[in-house]
Amino acid sequence: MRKPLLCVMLIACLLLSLGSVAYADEPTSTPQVISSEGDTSKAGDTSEKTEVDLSAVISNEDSVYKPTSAFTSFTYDCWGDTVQCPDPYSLVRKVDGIAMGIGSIKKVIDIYTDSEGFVYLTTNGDEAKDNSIVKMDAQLNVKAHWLGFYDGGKFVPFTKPCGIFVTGEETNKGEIYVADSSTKDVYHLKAQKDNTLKLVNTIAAPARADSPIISDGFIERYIPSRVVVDHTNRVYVVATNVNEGIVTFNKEGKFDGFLAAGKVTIDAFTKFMKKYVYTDAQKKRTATSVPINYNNIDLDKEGFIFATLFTTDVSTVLSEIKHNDGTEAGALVRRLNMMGTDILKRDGYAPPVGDTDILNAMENPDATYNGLSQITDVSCGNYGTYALLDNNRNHIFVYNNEGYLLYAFSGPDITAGGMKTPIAIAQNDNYLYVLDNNSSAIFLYERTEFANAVIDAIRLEKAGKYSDASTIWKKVLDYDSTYDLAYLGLGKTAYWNGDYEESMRLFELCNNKTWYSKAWEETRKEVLARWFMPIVFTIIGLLVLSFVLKIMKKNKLKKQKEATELE
Amino acid sequence: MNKKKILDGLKYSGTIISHPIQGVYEMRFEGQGDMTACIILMVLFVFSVILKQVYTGFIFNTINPREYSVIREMANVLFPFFLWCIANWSVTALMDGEGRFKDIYMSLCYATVPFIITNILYVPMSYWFTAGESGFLGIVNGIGEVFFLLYAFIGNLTVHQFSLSKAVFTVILTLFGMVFIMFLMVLFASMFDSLYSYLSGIVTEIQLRV
Repeated sequence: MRKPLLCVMLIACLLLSLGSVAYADEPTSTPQVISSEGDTSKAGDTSEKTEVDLSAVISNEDSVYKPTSAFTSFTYDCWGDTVQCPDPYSLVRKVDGIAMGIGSIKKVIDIYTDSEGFVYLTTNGDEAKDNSIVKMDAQLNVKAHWLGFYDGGKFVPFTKPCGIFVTGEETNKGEIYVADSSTKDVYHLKAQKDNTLKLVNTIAAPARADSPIISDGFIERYIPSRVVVDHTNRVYVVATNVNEGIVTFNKEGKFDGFLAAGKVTIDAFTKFMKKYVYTDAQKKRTATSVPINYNNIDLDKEGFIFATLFTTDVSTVLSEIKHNDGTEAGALVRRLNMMGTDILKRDGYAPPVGDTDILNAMENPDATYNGLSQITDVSCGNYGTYALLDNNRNHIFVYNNEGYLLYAFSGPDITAGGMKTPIAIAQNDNYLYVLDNNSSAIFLYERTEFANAVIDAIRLEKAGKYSDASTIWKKVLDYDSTYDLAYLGLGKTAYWNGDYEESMRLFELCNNKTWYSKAWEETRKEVLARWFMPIVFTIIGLLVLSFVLKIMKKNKLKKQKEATELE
Repeated sequence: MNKKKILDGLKYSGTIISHPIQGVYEMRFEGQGDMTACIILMVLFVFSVILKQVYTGFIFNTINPREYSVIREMANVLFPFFLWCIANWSVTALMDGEGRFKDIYMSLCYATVPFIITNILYVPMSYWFTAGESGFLGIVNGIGEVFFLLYAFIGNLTVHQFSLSKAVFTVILTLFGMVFIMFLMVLFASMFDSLYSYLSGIVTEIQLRV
């Protein structure tokens, strides 16, 4: 009985050693380090950062994100683990009302940057002078400070200006739209030569008479809070307490309808009941839309609407994060076309919902915050990128047009003068403006060399200049050798150049199975083309050979037979 | 215990695949098959499961190498394997099943053979197919799983000489039995944990006072 036992133990040992070898062989998402000789000459700061990243490569423990008081910048890899990256933005300064020279601001509400680089800020307060719109240049030097506007010859002060939007298309450049939450009107204003505002049109709250879909008590609930206007002058208003969707108005300012109402997902049982069992009265009572609370809105460079929302369906969001299967159902941000259909791409390593790590306190007891990100604002940048602002952990996430997380950062901790309750975000080419409700100030961030390189590479890729983009991606790897998107970019370049085996290597480094599969499909074609004929010829050759041998054997037998017969 | 007997035992899996009812019947009542061969088959099964997880091609590989543990995966296979055997033995002993523990275990080991084959086939196939063609791998895997369950069921039925309905009933009872055993194990674990902390408390107390 000892022998089989020994045998089992031997095999188990073999198995174990095999497993550990396999573990070492397994491709990890932490790639080899590309030579970084040029680092020191390029930027002393970043070379130090690269060294920190090297230690993260060696030990997996170090790559796990631990909240510290430092300026934390990170990305998520395909396993959902946090990987530190160089800071994409640096804090230039914090500007409050006194620094601007307009007196202390009681409350900042919304910020917007127009196509010419000017920054608009709305402020609220109890006194008349607190309710204003401030126009600044990109460096936050005040250009105008408006306390009200002229309607005909009459001066009308702002009461509670909230959302602000400035049109930037050829057809309607430089027109200011302000949602006033006190009067429930959206003012369409135009700046005059003498730096005053003139009223063009007032977009009043939709009344019962406007449309049958306006329910009773809607006007009491309706408080316009954010506004955007597209190139046809259609006005989109996100209103507090309105859960029917985004309120839209036509260019005359008349109520048009609700955009992107919450969709009802009907299961098979309800469908069956609705078709065969329900009476007409019951059918009428089944909901055609579910409540949805949009909280912010922005217009991207292609004229589509980005809208953020509070989710009530936490379990759906969590399961989409877990399975990396982002859909409209668990979305915290949507990109809407004019029909209200969500057209946001969610192809990244995780759906664009902000934090995908440390979601519950059980996983990380050291974390100060837990729970899903509370996305409160979205700001669209160039080349399809967009930034999300998380109110829960004060993180800012920047995604590209395919839904890959470019980088996320939190700015300095509150103890180091950072923001505490960020509420709004806006961006110019190189600058990012974040409004902090706690200190009533604007935090001005400037993009670093690292993030500039990333954005530059995205620009070149969008323009189809893949070889130029790959030079920039290599530069990005000098800053951060664990940056997955750089390997993805290099892999795509190799793919488009027809170097499929190299692209497979690169896609494996960034753990991108979709692209790896595409590259393998091409490689397989080559393999087949190369080996198909030899294999076919070999088979034919073997068949012929066996046939010939058979005949020869037959002949031999025949001869033998004849020989024996002769004898 | 000689080599030939083990080899014959391994070869006997061919008989069981082609004639499951007759094969298991002869294993139970006519002394066919071999215990050592069955242990080898079980080890091969665990081996093939781990092989499939670790060596599957990049496109279909879902394991996270940062968290993967061979020991845990081995336990994931072996624990339910033996739990089933024990629960089934306990249930069928009360229900006039004719199978001994050895027979239950051996019939289950022989049932894993199709799954071993498909698991090993899966690995080279996963290198050839692209993400869009995952259906082929799904078919291979599905065949393995279905045949494993089928042969396990037929083997169990034949070993105990049950009718079909009684065998289905026993399977359900066995599943309940597995849950019950796990419950008892948790209970014992927590009890021994309390006992240990109680004893260690006494020891600390004595150490502090003496």
